[in-house]
Amino acid sequence: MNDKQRSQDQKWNEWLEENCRIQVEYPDMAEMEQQKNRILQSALPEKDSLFERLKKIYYGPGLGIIFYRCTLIWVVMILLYIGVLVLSIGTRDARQTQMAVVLFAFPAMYLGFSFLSCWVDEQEAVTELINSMHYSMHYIVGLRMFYASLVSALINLGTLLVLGGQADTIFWKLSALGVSSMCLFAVFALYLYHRFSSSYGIGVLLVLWGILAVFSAWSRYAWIKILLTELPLAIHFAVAAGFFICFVVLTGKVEKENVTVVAYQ
Amino acid sequence: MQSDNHLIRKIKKKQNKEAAGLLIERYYREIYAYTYRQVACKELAMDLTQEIFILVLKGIRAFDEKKGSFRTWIYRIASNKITDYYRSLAYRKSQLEGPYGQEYEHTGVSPDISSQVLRQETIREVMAVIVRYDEPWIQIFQKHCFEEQTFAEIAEELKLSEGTVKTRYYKMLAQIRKEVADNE
Repeated sequence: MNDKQRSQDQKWNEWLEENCRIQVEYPDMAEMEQQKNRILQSALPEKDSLFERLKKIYYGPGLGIIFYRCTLIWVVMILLYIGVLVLSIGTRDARQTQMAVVLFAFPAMYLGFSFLSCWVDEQEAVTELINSMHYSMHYIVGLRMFYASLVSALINLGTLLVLGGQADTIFWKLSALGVSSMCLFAVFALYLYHRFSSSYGIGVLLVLWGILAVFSAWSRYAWIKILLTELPLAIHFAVAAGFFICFVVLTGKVEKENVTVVAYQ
Repeated sequence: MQSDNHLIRKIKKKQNKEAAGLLIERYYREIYAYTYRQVACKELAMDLTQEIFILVLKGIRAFDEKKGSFRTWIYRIASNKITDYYRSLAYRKSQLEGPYGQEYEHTGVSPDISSQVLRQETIREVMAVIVRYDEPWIQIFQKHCFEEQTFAEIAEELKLSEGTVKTRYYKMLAQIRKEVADNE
């Protein structure tokens, strides 16, 4: 590098330094403080308590939105449940009536409700309405199935108690069996809805359940009798609890994805 | 006074807001000035500074005190953020809309506004040239011009020879001269 070039470089370096080292116009103290708070809020948000987090996941937008326009479907399903119940009573002994309730009325009400409510949503373009409220339809359907499963389980327990007259071991086993099968189907139903965004998956499940129930009735509830006599109560409860937890976890997972969906809307 | 590393450990452990606040207060003016000198616009510098600190706090678990100082780390994040800005669509859009862009208008009251405008344009043109280089080259330029480090200090920090640092710097300077300064 010769002297001329060096002095030229030096000249341009000075020019650059003069242009780069400008006087800084700082924000005032109040602006800095505000910005500090914004940074802290964004980078280290307050953590929700466990109760608040659970409420956020499992209560979501509230029951009014979860069961939006579902009243008529509830009425239809309960009538169907009562209808199946009436048909079952008197045709066989009390135990078989209980089994019929667990096999036919319970899933028919639960899966039927899930299918019809999703189908009605699709017909009435409720999907758009729900999405405009920053909740994905999958999440709302998951919550709806969650609450419907609780209501169905309670109704079924009451019915079994009324039919059996006493809360004996068989009563608890049947109840646990009802909850297990409902939760198992709920997991599949939610997964299918989540995967294909259509109520038809639930419809297919409903048909499958129907076939299973008819086959069971035709075989005089042989496999249910085996389950009731061979398996101890603890296993029935453990299986029911396991399927219920699976369903609850899946609902929570759908909620997490809902947050992502909403973030990119 | 608590050291940077002590505050960082508190943030890592308990997401301690007080420690994070102290860390922000300690570096805010410095990082803001570093950013301002490269964008020459108060609002834009404030926005970028905010994003830099958010990135720093969100990624603080990745900071390893054994690998280097917090200051070096935060400056590297700031440097990347500013480079990203100049390479971004937002910057190209602002160039199409005018020297300041419509989003970030110069609102400060300066005694010599025309000189300020001229400098703002110059800095942006210089940065547009610089961000076309690779990361280590950009760092040399930023450290020398905006952090006011000597070539020897830069060489030590980047683990390069002083000769390499100088050669790279003057090559970039020649390019700036060709594209920016000679147009003036």
